[in-house]
Amino acid sequence: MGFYAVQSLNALSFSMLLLLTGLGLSVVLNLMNFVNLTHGSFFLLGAYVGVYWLASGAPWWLAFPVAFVAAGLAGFLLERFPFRQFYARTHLMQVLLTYGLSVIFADLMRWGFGAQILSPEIPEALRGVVFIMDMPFPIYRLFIIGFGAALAFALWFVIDRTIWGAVVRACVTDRGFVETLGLDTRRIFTAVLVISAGLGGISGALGAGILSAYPGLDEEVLILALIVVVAGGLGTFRGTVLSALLLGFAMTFSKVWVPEFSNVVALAIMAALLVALPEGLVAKKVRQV
Amino acid sequence: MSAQAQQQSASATYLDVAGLDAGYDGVRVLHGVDFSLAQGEAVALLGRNGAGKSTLCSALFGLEPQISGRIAIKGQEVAGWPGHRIARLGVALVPQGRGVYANLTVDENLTMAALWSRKQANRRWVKERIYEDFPRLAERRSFSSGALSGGERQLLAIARALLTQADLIVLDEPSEGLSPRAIEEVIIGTVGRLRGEGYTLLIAEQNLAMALKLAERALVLDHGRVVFDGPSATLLADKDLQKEHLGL
Repeated sequence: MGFYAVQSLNALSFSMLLLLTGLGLSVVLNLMNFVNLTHGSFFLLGAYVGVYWLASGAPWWLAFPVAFVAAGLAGFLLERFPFRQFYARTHLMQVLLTYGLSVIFADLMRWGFGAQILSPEIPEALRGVVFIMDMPFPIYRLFIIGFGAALAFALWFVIDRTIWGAVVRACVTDRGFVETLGLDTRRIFTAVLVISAGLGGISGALGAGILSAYPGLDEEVLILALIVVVAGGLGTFRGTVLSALLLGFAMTFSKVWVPEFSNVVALAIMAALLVALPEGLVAKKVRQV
Repeated sequence: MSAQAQQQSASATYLDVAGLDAGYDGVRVLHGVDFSLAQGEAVALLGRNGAGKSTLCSALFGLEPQISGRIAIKGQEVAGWPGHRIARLGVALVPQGRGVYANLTVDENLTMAALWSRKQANRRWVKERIYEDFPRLAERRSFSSGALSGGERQLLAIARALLTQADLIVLDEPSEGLSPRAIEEVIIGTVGRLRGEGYTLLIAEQNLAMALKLAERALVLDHGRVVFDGPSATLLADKDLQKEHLGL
């Protein structure tokens, strides 16, 4: 019993990382109709920033905002050039552009941070375990669950309950018309991309504590985030949450039960889901093409 | 253009369009459209379905993909400007199908419209005044806009245009799909009131009788060209012209 409780918490902490990364990707896809395959690079950049920050001796808790800012800044620059020039292009062109860029960034990061696997020094306050039904569970993972949930809630609140979130939702429906209300949607798009990239970065910094940071992690994370977004159903917050949970639990428990085939099993579940529900777990009533 | 209109436009031209072509993907919808609107004038823009009325309305806001020609708003050349800068000159669009965001509440729709001017002093319209003047919207403030009736949605779209602090309002087929009662209340009532308050109005319509009730001057578009520009009374009297260009 304790074993399953701990594994469920493991799954939950992994789901939280998937959720944060997936939300960043999905908000850009839904709002700006832009496929950003450099999202995994933001995650890995955040992971490296986190590792270096935690090793530097500076206040540990700043590692996460700093990772957000670093990835957000990268997003800001990329948005100016070349993303902005590709918003009106087809998805295929966007895929070619951003995939190409992600390969470049992977090389740049390998050059800058090295090819070895880097694990962060977990700060004193988050080290150690708690016992849950006599089974040890790392405090750091509890931190990921709590922090991730708070961040996801904050994002939901901003999008669903504030006027700027309403403006973003209105842009999804009709960007041109938002302009006629005197609002500069280009700046809104920039802000959304920066937040999305920042979320990628902060997830990376959080995730480094369990996944470490190494060349190739960017792609692994990107694929999982894409699965979360697509399986959840485009344009639904609830769907993204559900599919992040489902994928997190599927990956964790397939590693427990069938370690040799864990990826095969987890991804087969998600593939079967997409075949059964092509619109995703939560289908939106109106969908922007 | 009538002598009277010409005289007015010499004093304060709010909108001046010359040689306007617009279209998309190689399909040209508007061909060399010329007209102007003087401050405080209410002009009906008439034409059959597909004559280019909606294209003209959205071209004024830079929303059409391919535009050439001259558009001047209050003396400013706006060709190539992004829509929000054009809007900030004091022009608002009440789009066809009302363009209210179904996934936003009434209150969010209104707040959003007042957002860019929120720091200005002496705004002509603030949300509170909208709620006082249009109690129907106040009753529905927390409703999702998708749940409103057609007339209420039109009212919301007009209120939103007012909140952008515009004094030149372009209405794209406001009566489309509305019941006769809603047309009477919202269009004749509210739009008529705006006219009385000195707003400059361009009203694209299929409903000839209604449009000419509101506008003293009419423009008729046919196949993307202006084929009539003159007093409403002249158009009302000219059955041949109505038949040829409006299919009535």
